[in-house]
Formats: sequence, structure tokens, C-alpha cells
Amino acid sequence: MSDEVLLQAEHVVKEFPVRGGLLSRTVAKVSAVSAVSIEVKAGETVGVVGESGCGKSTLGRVLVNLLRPTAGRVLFEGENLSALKPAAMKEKRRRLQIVFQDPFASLNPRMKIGDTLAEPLRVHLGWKADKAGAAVQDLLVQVGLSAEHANRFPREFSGAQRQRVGIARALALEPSLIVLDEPVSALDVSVQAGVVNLLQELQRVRHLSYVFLAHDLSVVGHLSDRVAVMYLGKVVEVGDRNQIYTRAQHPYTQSLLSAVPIPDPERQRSRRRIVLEGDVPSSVDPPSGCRFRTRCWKATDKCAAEEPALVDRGEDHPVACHYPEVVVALV
Amino acid sequence: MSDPGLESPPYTEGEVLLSVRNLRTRFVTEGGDVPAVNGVSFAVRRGEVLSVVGESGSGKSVTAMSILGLLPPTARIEADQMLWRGESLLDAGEARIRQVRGAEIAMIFQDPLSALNPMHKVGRQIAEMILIHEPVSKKEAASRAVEMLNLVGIPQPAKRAGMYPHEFSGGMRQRAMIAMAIACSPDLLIADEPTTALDVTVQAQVLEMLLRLKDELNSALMLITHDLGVVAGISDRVMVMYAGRQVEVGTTDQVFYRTRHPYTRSLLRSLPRLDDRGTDALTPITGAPPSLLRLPSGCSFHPRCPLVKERCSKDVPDLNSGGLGHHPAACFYADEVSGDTASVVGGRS
Repeated sequence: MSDEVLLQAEHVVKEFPVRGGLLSRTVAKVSAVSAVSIEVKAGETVGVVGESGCGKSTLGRVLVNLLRPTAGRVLFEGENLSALKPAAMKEKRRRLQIVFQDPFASLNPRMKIGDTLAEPLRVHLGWKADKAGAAVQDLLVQVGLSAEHANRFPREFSGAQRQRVGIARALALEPSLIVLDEPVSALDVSVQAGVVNLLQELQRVRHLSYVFLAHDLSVVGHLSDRVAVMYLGKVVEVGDRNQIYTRAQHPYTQSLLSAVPIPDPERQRSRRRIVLEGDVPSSVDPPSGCRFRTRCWKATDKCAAEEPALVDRGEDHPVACHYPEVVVALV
Repeated sequence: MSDPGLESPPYTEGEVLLSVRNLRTRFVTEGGDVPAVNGVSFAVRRGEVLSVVGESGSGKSVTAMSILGLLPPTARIEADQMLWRGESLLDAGEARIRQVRGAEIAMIFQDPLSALNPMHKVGRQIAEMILIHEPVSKKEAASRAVEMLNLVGIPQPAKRAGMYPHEFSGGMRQRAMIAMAIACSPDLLIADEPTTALDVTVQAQVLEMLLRLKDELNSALMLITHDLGVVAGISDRVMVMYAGRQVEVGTTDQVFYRTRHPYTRSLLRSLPRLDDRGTDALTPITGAPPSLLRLPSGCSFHPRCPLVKERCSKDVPDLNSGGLGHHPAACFYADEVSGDTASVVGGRS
């Protein structure tokens, strides 16, 4: 890892209109991502965790410029992505890739795997079929498949194999950063570990940076150097892996950690449990002040009145809570 | 031959509610017969939580559906015995099965949206369940429905009873479905991946509630899941399934700490854990689960097994194969598995 910052999101906001009524006018706005700032250094993995609706997938799409931010900006290699002209963006795209969650939906069922993988090489590098073909075979081997797989269709592959193809496609143009959006959550447990190991190995060999978006804290903890925790479109806590997993200070992070089951009966019996009440509120009408306060056992009048800022109290471990405090024995 | 699947250690005094011996369920398809469940035996006692663990295609859901007669007409169900509180379900008529299903054995599904009728108010759906099974007035049923919603922790239950499923959040729908399942105080609750579609903080609530309800109703819980973490926290006993067969059955501590089947051990080793330091590479299982249409010869796990020997591709192991004096495991070399399990769970953190 180096100190060079590769990707930087500054106060990124992404709103979607909610349409309704007779004329489908915009009746409300959903703020999927609200003023999120994160930084990814060369060679590191930043995990983004949160439950459904927290905005992590939207953030991922904004980071790779598949969605334009409503406000704020994303700098990749020092340049503001939404200000780039199409030709310049195409050039950047080679080094900024994304792998999607669903390996069944993200591959064209009518294209042979080899053609799917050759496409980026053709489009971006103008390679002819024979040169691309050789590169494709090489890519397949690198992701743990074999060269003969190039002639097959997606339906002939298992979920894990398809996800390996998705990773190969992202690798084709030799990116420096890949956003991984829940890359293993659709896979059977017995094959997840293989894909996780592949991601780690590729990172080591190619000096890749990852932004790893997932709801599974166990996988995120395994892969990430730093972790950001999101709740209803906001980052509530950021820190290095150990800070988040062993010295979490935000009540939401703490409840999230305590809720993740550990496959160890004795550990499960001895852990401290924090069971939250209720569900995540709607992001169309988030609570005033701190968005977590409706489920928080520490909430006071101050939390409803005043939104806590993401403040670093030393230690390079910012927390957005009026009453941050370390709780032990959660894991 | 004795059936080790049935001989669970009677650590609980509870009455044997359900006892299934040699269940075989296959689906007739154009491509041939699919043996979804292949010789499964187990018993569930009052008061206990039995977890059935496996990946997709392991037969864990089909096992439950076979008991309740909820499978499509292409399914062929056979068993040597299927006793519900001493009464044979195999010989029971459709009317009796309908009585058992819902009132005595209730089922909770993974996706509450497909189990709730979108056109009817939630309270009415719960009341309907009560009206079918019990001689009560509509008014009584309606007030019981509200009571049930309250019991599963839905705020403002009277108001919520008058709402439609789409007005509920995912966690609340799952709770509404549980309210419907427990409305007639069933003796056995079968929950098929009840928390898989839920967020982790909501999952914790629902699991806690299922345990509480089991105690309050003095019933038993059969939990079907792929998540070994959930299993570790909630179960008394565990049954591990692979490709339609039972591979290991034991108390939760036996299965986690004195693991006797290579599949169970490989699964435990392959999982990233929250309490990991996150530096070591995981130990993946090679290959993928087999297609039920083309099961490997011998032990179905042998092509992926790190301990595979010559015999494994020839003979099919059953729960007796692991040898006596231990909890049942369908592996000829179960003793070699238990030899080094200390490093599997306890030694990792």
C-alpha cells in the first residue's frame, strides 16, 4: 500500500426523484447517498458495509461514473469524473472497473464467454480477434478457469464460474481500481471462499485497489484494510479494519457487529448481544437529526435536533455520533 | 439395521413429535428422475431446535415439504415411516393432512411476499387461518389475529391488522407470516430460511423471537438454513445434508467441535469469520455441488473431498459408516476427520 490517493469521493450526494400523481410529477426525492466522502489509496481495499437501502450500491455506481452525482464530485487519479469529456472518460474507464453482484444477470446469455471478454479489448484497445483471443485465454486461466471455457455460453457455467468471468472481464483492461458490488453474496457457501481467495491473490499480483461493497461483515472484515459503515445514505463510522471490528464507537456499527452470527457455538453463547428494535426507516423521509436515532438505545433530544457530524477525535477513526463510546465483547 | 439418524441422544425429556425413517423423495422429469432426498431419517422432540444445514440442492427444503405434502405432483414421496405424534402421515388422508398442516405443524417460508396474499389485509389472512382450524366466531378470530401480531412484536397491531402486505417492511412481513404460522399454537414450527432475505439486525430480532415463541408455545423448531453462524447460535441439534443425503447428525457442539464428516469440516474451514484477523487465505472447497441428475458414484462428496480414498468412489456411506461410539457421520474415514478438528473452530481465533 502506498499513500497515493487513487480515488476520492468528496461530499457525494445522489438523489432520485419519486414520481407520482396524475402527471407523474416529482413528488419527493430519495436521497440514496447523502454527502459521502471516502478515499481509496493505491493497493488498498476499502470495505463499505450496510444493510439494504443504505446506499452502498448507488455509491458504487457513482464511484465508477455509471451514475452522475447530484452534488459533490469523484476524483479518480486526480480528475473529476463527471467533468470529463466522453473520450477522456473512456480512457479512464480502462483503469476503473466494476464487478456486479448477480453473475446471472451481468453476462449476455447469447454471447460466448470468449466474445464477452474480448469485447473490452476490441472497444478500448482496437485489438483484432486473434490478439484478443490469446489475451482472453490468458485471462481465463488467471481467474482459475481454463482456456477452453472461451467457447462456452454463460448457461454452461455455475454461479461461481460466472462470477470468475465477471472478474476476468473487469481485469481485461488492466484496471488500477475495481468496485466489487456484493461479489460473493449470490454464491453457495462452499464456493465463496474460492472467489474471495482469487480476489486477494489478484490484488497481490496486480497491485489492485478495491472498493468492496457488501452486507456481510465477515467477508468485508476478511478482505478490507479500511471499512466505512453506512446507514440510510450516510457514513456513520470509518476506520481501519481493527478499529471498526474491535473498537467500534457508533451504536449502529456495534449493533451490526453483534448481530452477525459466528459459526462457533461457544462464542455465540458468550457474546454480548445488542438487538435493535424496528426496521430501517424509509429513505424518502429519513428521521431528523441523526438518522439512526429511531432505533438507537442512546438517543436523546439532542439526537433528534442536531445531526452529528462525522468527526475524527484523534486516531484517524471518524464517528458520526453525539455519544461515541467503545463497547467490548461484541465479536 | 439400526437407524442412527433417529437415535438422537435423549438430552431432552421432550415427547418425540415427528419421526421420519428413510425418506426418499424424487422428482420425475424429462431428463430422468431427480433424487432430491435420498434416505433421510430424523426425529424432532418437543422443546428442541433442530437445524437442517445444507447448500442449495442439498434436499433440506424438500425434506420439510415432503412431510407437509407441499410438493408438486411430479414429486414421488416414499418412506419407511413418517410418524406425527405416533400417527402415520403416510396413511393419513388428505383431509387429515390439511388439519395437521397449519394447526399442528406450521411452516414459515423465506419469502413472505409469496406466502402472503397481496389482495387481503394482513389481519384477515391470519383470522382466516384460525377460522379454518378452530370453531370460533369471525369476531373472535379477528381479535386473536391482532393478539398474534402483538405477540410477534409488531407495533400498533390493531392498526397494522387492517393494512395490506405491501404496506409492511420486509422484516414486518416476515413477522406477520410468523404470526399466521403460530396462530393455532402448532406443536412444530418448520422455518425454511426464515431470515435469509432479511438484514442482519432484523435477522437477530426474528431469530430471538422464534426461540421465545418456541418456549411460550412449548413446541419444537426445525430450522432449515445454509448459514452455519445462525445454526451455532440457535440449535440444540444439527443435521448436515449434502446432495440429498444426511452426512452428519449430532448435538450442536458435537458437529462444530468434534466434526466427523469432511464436508462439514471443509464448510467450517471455508467460512470467513467476524472474529478472524483477516490475514490468512481461506481454505476453499474445490469444485461445486453436483447435479442431482448426475450424482457421483459412491459418496457424493468424494470428488471434492480432501480425504478421498479408493473406496469412496465405490461404496455409498450411510450414517452407520462412521463407526460406533460417536455421533453419526456418513463417512468411511470419519475417525481421520475428528483427528484434527481442534484447529477448525477453536483454534482460529
